[in-house]
Amino acid sequence: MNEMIERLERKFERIKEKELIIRGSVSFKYGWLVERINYWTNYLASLGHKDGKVVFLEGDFSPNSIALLLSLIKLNNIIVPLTRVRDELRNKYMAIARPEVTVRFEAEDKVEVIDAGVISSNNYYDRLRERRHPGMIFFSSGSTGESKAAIHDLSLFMSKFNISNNAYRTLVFLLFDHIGGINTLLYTLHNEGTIVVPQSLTPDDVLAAVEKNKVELLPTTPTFLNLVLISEAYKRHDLSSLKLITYGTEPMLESTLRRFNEYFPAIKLKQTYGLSELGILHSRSKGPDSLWMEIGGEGYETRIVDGVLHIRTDSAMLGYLNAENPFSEDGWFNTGDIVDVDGKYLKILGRDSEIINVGGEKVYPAEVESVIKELENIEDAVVYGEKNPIVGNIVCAKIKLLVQEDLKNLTLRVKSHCSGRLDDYKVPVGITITEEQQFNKRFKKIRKQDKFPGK
Amino acid sequence: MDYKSTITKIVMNAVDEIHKAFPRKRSIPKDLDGVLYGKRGNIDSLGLVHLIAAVQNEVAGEYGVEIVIGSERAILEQISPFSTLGRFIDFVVLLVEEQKNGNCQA
Repeated sequence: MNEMIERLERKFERIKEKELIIRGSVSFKYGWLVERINYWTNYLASLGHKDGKVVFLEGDFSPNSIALLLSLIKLNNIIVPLTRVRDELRNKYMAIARPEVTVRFEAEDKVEVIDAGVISSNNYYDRLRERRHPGMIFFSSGSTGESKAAIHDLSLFMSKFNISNNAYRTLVFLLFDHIGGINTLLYTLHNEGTIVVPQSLTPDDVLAAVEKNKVELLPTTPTFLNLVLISEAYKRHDLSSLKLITYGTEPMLESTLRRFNEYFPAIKLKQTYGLSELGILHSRSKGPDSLWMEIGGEGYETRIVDGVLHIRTDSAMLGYLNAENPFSEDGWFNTGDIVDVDGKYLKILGRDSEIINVGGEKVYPAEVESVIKELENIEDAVVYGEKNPIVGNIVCAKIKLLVQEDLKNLTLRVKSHCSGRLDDYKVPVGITITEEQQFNKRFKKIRKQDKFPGK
Repeated sequence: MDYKSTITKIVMNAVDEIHKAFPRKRSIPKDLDGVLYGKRGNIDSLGLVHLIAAVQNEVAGEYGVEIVIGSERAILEQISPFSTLGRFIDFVVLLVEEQKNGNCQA
């Protein structure tokens, strides 16, 4: 049995009257969780479930999925948390992780447990079993390529939660299969907080859940904060309970940050930094309206090599199930994030894979997107590169409008504004209008584009 | 069909658009024989790609065809279609004619 979970159970016993989770109009207390962890542990034992099993856990943040997750950790299982995905993608994940057991949550929090009747083994699984440690596998979203399966030793991953922090009422925004979502959950449980699950991730549903349940901490993404502004959902809900909004997973637009600070001066905005491979690092923003931050904290080392951030930590993943070991011989991980440095502070400029090289000059999509969004009638803008025989690549922008507008007029507005605010090589050459949403289910921008029309 | 007069108008309008979008840039004289891109040219490479994009969009709207002006073919021409505004217009006319006649070599 895993000692960390046993310690947590003793803690939960002491706070058994405290609210654990609120979902819709139903809430459950910590005392319920203790009983339910016992129930699931006994149930799994009755099925002959042993330590070290590889388990697909398909669901979302529900009272039972949390209890079962903790039971599986307690049994030192290797867990693959998944949300509902297309069958094709699920089959791909199955082929990579080769689960021995599948646990699927259906509607109304009902559970189906299927033993696949196979034994899975590889170096990583064997290492975790020898250590008698629980494991967890996160699949990257694959927004810029093939999805990679990062396998973690959960004992190392959870060790950072031993330091006590604030017990917030926290809305779980990032999904059940995301390292940020699991991090939010484990952080909240370790700090005796309360989890609020919104009905959906639309701006209105999220902010309604904030208002109704007096949420204090909202961990989210820059794209979602853009949507909150565009939808004007913030005008329809009382957000006075919010103390802290954290944002990460992609670069924040300076224009969004400025606007948010202007509207909500009492809410602290804090940038976080995390990767599926390394977990979520401690971070401290230079100021509320600053994109500069200090990252690292105990157990993490950082260095900059050719403008790219490298990180070394003992709590990093063990490796990928389906890709080469990305660590250097002395344990450094190349994050692929291009950064500016100012003393102890860093500013994330973008992924090296997203940088557009125009005639030898580098363009960071987020900077151009931020400037485009200063204009009126722009709901969203995604900037990306297109091959061009004359200058190597050109900057293109796909724009979603608030109200219909003639493309020619829009093109002129965007180019005029950008040429006054940016170097010429950063001004978008190709501009198209789209009706589609330009972010994925994790509220992260999609920059992989089809061929630019007319080019 | 004579495309030249319409395409000349399209190109001149595109030049006006570049002037509006990049007021700080040197203006491009509407002189068919003046140097466009090259030594002592009136436009830089970025200005050229903006001009090309604007003309391609207008041609698509006017004729319903998608032409590729900034192609390898253009770059490899013995006499550059980007050397003067006149040659640029002639090249666009050629591409439109090819597209309309179903002879796409771009």
